[in-house]
Amino acid sequence: MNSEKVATFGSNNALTGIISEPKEIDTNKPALIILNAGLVHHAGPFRLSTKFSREIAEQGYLTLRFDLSGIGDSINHSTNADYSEQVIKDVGMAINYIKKNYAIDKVILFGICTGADNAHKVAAVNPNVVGAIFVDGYAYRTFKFLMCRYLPILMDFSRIKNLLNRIMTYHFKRTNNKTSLANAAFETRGVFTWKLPPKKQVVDELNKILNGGAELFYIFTGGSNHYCNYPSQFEKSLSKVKFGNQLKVRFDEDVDHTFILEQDQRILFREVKSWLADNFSG
Amino acid sequence: MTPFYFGNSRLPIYGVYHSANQVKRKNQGIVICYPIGHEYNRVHRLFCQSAIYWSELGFDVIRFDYYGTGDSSGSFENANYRTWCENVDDAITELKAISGVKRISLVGCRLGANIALNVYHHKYQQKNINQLILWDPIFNSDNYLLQLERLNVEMLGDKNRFLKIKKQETALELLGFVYSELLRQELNKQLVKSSNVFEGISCLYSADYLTDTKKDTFKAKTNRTLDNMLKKCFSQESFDFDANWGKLESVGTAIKSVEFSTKIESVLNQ
Repeated sequence: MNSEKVATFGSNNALTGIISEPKEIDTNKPALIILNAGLVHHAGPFRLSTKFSREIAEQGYLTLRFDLSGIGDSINHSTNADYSEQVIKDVGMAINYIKKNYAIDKVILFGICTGADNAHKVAAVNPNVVGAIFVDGYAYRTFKFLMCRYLPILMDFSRIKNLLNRIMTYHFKRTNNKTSLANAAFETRGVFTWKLPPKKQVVDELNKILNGGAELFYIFTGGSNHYCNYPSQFEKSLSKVKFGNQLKVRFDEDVDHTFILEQDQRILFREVKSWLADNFSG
Repeated sequence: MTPFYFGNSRLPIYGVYHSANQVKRKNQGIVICYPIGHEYNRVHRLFCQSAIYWSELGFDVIRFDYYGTGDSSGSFENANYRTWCENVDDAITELKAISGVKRISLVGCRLGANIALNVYHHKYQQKNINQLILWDPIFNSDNYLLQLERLNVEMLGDKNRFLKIKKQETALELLGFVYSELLRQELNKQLVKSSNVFEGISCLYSADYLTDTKKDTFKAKTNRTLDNMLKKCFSQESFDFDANWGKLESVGTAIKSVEFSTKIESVLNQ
């Protein structure tokens, strides 16, 4: 096994994480930072982040899995920053830690669900981010999405009744919220909660990230089926983004949102290692 | 909060030490013994918050990950019960060395309770373990493994998790963790068999625990044994929340409770 070390950083060393060191550290290779999935601490759901860190370190990449302020083994800073600002600060401090201790100044972010949401926010403002892997991150509904989702229901009268009930409930609840149907896509699964930002904002931010040269890898599982349900939906729904050849998308609806099964974890590890080899092997 | 690695340098164990509030220091250490598998994540946040709370009250606290779990070395597949008991032993030694405390309380949850019980019976004099607090221990390993297998089957067909019924490649995998044949055999040998092991021990139950445990056994004789064992406890109390260990909806859901830390505190102070 590769060497693992405790990393404490940030003001008063309030942030805690684990560094997985490769056998030989190559400062030209970016480090990989694994973000929390919701409130699950840095070992990840079903120990996914620990296993993932070790697999990636075996490939020669330094990895850091750490807890954001107030999660797991990191203390809550109680600063005045709002949540998004705090996330950006926390990840910035993690990047500084890696830079200071390992002389690596480029990073790739990895996040599932809220982790993907946070990875996007950081990538949009931090120039040290040269790549990001988003699992069940942003995607916007398209006409085809609606057809795939609702056409089978429209062919079934009992399901039509259920759908009408849900639509009525939805319209009743959104009296004070004028966001579009697409923007009202919420991810709520236990402790995982995030809100899809306005599409124009995401388009602008993605163009900025891509202009900076970052490589992006989007993975959609069956857990994103309620807002992304066919392979090309991500690119179609963000047609104003100039992805060029900086984008890879994997659509795997047979896999669940948190990769509970080892067989699915192995697929994730294999895909990420292949993407890293294609884009960052030097 | 001080995170660190300890134990055998080839197989390091990850732990977090919570130093006692110096003003209120009680010279009493608490070693938290987590459950294993999918149940580990369910209590992690609760145990983190409780460790902070208890350390503020003057207890020195250590929580740690067994071999093959969390951030510790090794894979779950290669883990075994004996090693996990040794890990508790090492954590006690480590806590004593860091903090200087002489007396130790073990707080264990689910299989962690059984591991704590095992260590207590073998080492309570040598390690000066003066208190054992068990939260929802496993009374019958057959039922425990059967419950995990039932939940696993339900999980594979759960429409909220998988769009289609999922086929699992590894028969030994239960809810994301591979329980090796060796581990299963060990669990069958090591779990509670005797009727007198609960003497002098404090047991705390989730509100749904006793009814669920009895429902799972289906045997009146086993249930009578359970009742007799519980009568021998030094104290027993019930929490007001359901842990839902046997329910599919609970897999991947953290347990939240305000009263957990304070109720354990009252037992610690007995």
